[in-house]
Amino acid sequence: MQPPLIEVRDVWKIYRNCEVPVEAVRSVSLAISSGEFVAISGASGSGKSTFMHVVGCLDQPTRGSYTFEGREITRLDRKQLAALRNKRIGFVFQSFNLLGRTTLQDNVALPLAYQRVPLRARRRRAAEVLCELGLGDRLKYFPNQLSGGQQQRAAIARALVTRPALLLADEPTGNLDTERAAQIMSLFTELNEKDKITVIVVTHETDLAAYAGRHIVFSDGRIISDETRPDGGQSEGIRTR
Amino acid sequence: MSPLTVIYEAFISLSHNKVRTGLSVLGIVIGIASVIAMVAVGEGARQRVERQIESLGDDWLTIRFWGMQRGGVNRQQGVQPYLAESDADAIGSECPAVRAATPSNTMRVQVVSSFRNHQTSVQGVYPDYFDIRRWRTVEGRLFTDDDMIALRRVCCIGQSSAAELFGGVYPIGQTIRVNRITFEVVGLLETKGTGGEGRDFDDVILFPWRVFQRLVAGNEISQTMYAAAAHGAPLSIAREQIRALLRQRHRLTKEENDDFRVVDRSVAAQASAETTRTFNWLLMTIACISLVVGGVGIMNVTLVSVTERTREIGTRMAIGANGTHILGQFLTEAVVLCAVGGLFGFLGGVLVAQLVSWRLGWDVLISTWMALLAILFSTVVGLTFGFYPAWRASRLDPIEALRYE
Repeated sequence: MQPPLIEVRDVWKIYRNCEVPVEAVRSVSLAISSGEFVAISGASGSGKSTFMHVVGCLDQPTRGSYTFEGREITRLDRKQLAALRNKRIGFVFQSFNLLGRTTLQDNVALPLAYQRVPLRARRRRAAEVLCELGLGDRLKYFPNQLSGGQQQRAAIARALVTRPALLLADEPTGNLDTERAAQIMSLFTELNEKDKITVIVVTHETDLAAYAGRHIVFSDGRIISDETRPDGGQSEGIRTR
Repeated sequence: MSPLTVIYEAFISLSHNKVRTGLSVLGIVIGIASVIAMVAVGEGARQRVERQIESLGDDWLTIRFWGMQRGGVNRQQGVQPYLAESDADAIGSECPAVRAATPSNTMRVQVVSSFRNHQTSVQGVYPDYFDIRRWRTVEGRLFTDDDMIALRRVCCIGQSSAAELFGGVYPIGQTIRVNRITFEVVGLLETKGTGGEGRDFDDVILFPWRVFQRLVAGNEISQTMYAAAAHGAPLSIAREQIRALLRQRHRLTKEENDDFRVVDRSVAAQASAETTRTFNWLLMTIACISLVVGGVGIMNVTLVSVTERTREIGTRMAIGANGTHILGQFLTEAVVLCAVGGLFGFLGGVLVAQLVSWRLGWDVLISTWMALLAILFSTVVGLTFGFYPAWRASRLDPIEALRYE
């Protein structure tokens, strides 16, 4: 059997810069295989965001071990982490975080710029991804000329442009209405099914978690529930709710 | 990220806030403009002094009577200078390192032409004087030994005096009167320009020494002597020979100081060049201070920009930018800002320099290396003052940065 994409063993994250040390994540162990669609939910302050930062290689755990694609992450320095995020992980944020005054195409091409892909090649690749996500006619638009749903799709395009192993979305639908939120979640499902991309979505909305095949719930820094739907969460019934 | 992309991004982000960019760049523009204007004025002054040294010639000496001194007390106060014509002749014939020597006497008198009269310097010299001072005529001829021996009443006139006395009339063949004695103008001298002390070298009329002695001055005193070094002979050797000879001729004992001074004119000019240089450094320092003030402005605006764009920095870090990328991005912005300021500053400086040369009549010199200087200076300012904000941006924690509202 293939080793898991993500393997977290006894991970702790403790913030010591306050008067009382805050244990944001307490002894979490978890394995996520390649091709899974995982939703992580929990109340605010439950440690799900902190955990996501560790999984996304934005932060190092205080204690424990984390391997990503078989590589021990805790031994990497800032520069190596940045390179890893750039090549293997795609981020989607609640507030899209597209650069203003920069065209969608150049926004999407930005991760490739950090890999020193030549301008023409990275613009071509960005256009390709935007077309796949139905924004092919908006290449030269600026973010503020688009609806929220379109902006989030562009942000997803930016996350996908480097062909990452993992797509990590932090409250991706938080700024969208219900209909648009459903569209974005469907898009994740599609990417997961068709392109076999591993998707982790952090959300506090449990009904959106239903799109995922696996649902992990955090509380007080620990995993209190980890359910895999027998049908992989991809039955018609669940998707249409 | 390729450097071109980084520069392109810098331009994009600077165009975001045009007013702020413009205002923050103003300090650099003013700083660079003042540096360039100062350099242009300084260069102009330096060139003028150099030209002056050249025109003064670097192979001749002035010998002046200085008075007898012993123990710091001038013992011959009120006594007329007594360097005699024979001194000059002796220097000319007995010093091997001296090519030619002439006595000289200068007075200010009222000179009358058939058109008007004019107060000017009249000077009696040997014809050798023209060789010593490298003075030529533009019209007519120089007076000669023949003129002097035959006591012909002739003179050569400087450009300024000619203009004062004759206006536009061709001066050769005209007559002037000094002490009611009529002289014929035989030569119009080429222009020598003005001296550092504002003296007009062209406001002079030269007469053959003996004619001058008898008909103008009425005495035999030589106030000053001029001597030129022989070809290839160092000026210092000529000076020593003259000194030894004059001490001997004036019968000075070992304890007595020289009663004359041998002055190397180029030394005087170099002293004036030194003064000019000091003055230029002072101006440059002030200009540099204004540049530093401009740099602080750049630092300020870059800090504001970093704070404003904290979330963008977080996003860039999340999608793969490392600290070096972020440092490069903000440093490039500061440098681009300064370089643009430097360019406009250069243009501004050229404009100010032109204005100065036009309104004040100062010599200014503008050359291409000053444009490079402007770019270099502004880039250094950008690097210096952009570094701290850029470094702060690069040290941001990606999670904190993403959370920043």
